[in-house]
Amino acid sequence: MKMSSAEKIKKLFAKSEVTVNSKVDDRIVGDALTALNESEQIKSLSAESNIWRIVMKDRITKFAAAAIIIIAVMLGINYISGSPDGASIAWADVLENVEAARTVMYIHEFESSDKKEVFETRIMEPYYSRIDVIAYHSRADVMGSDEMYKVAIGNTKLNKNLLLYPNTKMAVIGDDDVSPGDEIRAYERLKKDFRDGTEKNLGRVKLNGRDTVCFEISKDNKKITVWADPNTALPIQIEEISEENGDRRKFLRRDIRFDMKLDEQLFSMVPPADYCLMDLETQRLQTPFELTEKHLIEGLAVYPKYLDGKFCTRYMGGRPKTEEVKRKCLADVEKIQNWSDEDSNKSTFGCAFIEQLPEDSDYQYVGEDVKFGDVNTPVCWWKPPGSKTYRVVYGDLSIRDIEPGDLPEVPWLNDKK
Amino acid sequence: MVDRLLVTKCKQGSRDALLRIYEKYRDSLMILAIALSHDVSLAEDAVHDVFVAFAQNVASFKLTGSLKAYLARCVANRVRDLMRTNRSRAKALSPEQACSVERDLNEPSLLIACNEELRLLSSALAELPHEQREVIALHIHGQMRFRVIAKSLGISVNTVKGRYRYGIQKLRSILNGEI
Repeated sequence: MKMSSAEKIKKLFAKSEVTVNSKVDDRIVGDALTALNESEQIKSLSAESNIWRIVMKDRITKFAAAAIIIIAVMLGINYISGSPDGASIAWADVLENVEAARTVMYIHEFESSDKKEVFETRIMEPYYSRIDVIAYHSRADVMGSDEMYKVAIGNTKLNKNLLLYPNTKMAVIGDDDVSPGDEIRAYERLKKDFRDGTEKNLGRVKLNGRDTVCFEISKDNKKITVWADPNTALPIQIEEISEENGDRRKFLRRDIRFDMKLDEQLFSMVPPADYCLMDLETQRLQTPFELTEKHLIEGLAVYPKYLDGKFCTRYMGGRPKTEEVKRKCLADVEKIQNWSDEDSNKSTFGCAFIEQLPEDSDYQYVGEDVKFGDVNTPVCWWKPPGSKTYRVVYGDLSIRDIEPGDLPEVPWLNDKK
Repeated sequence: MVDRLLVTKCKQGSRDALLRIYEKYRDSLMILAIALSHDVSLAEDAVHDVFVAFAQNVASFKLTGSLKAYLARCVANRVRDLMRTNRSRAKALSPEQACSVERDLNEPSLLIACNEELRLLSSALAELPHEQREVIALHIHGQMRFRVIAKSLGISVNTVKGRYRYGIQKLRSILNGEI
């Protein structure tokens, strides 16, 4: 079994070693111990001031509690439940109904200084979630919006997550970690925050012309506002505003609907029949079609577009990696930095074709520096199963059958043998 | 000694516990920092800063998961900050001066030596955008789950998976054979 790139990187990490000079250790350990000492001193100083604070707090809290009660009475805030102006529902009703609902669907809008996203979210408790991307814009993200998945399905029962990329008909499946279902988790966290106990009933509020009862929860650096339907006591909109390191983040869940019938097919972990499926952990690719030499040709053809009309230095093999070859490979990677999703997939299909060849296929890549269109210079070859001749791909991407003895002489190949 | 106990002792001011945490994770964190930055000098600074900050704040530190993953996350964050600072500094310098700001792995260092595998790994990762490199290194070397990486970077778990996939895909064809 051939190793995936991830497995190879893992192996390299495992074999990586550093030898650290004791001067480095002295510097780091010395500074860290100094910092630990300083922290100890501050701790003992603050312990002294804490005693003073405890004494003061006892006096202050008595006055503060009295003041809060007076303000509450003046503003008419009802901390127990119910509302100041006769709204018919209490927070406890909202909590109870949200907990009882088995399905929920909403439009999720997120906005921060560098990102804006709009998703349609469906949750079927306790296992399934699905988000459909409606709009996505990120200044910081390396991926353009075209390369963003359009559908993400989480299944906590299978511990899997499936992403669909309709533009290239690619599906990616991966483990969803130990306690999976990102959307379900976010929703569970939200329900937990609802139980924070700090909610305020702000009374009747119009939301887009609709009557609602509004509640507000303040927690840490977060403010949650819930607009609930006075008839059903279920939220119709929830806004979460938080601030982290000066960055204001706003989550808005709008058009919320509960307990609607959702088709389980929406949460199917089987991609559409015409999609390719890639396993994120192993990079194994399943295609709904047979991988043929046509895919290899298309994969090879990607590179001259980005590499000044030449084929890449290595493609699933090639000249042994000297320092010079390594530098050339890395220069190639730099040039394909912004390749399109389609080209990336073509290259992947080409690689997958080579990976599925039997071990004795004798695949060789000799396309380094070959110009696209060169009819006489080979780029790669392999021996199909049961064949006595080799299939040789040339610079014009034509393929010819060549006898083993007629294969071109490649000095480094002889050295390798 | 288990990490939780080491942290508790450290919180009580034990110099020995701090030293043992450093010895336990130094190499792993240094490898991570080098893989992320492709710069031994910057990697040393990142690991230094993380241990000093850890010692400074250990009194209020609560270990909720793996200490290794926590330190790896801190190193990744610090590397990102230092690289950003270096880039802005390099922008303000002439090209000749700017070249001297980064000291990459091919230059011999008297203080930290990398073996061939680490050099190869770091060179390969260096050609990926930092965002993709970070996710690959944290997931594979830091053994951090995508969800944890997402939380620490403040992005969605699916974006993390996307970065991972794109990074791996780029490395796949060209670097195949050797790594």
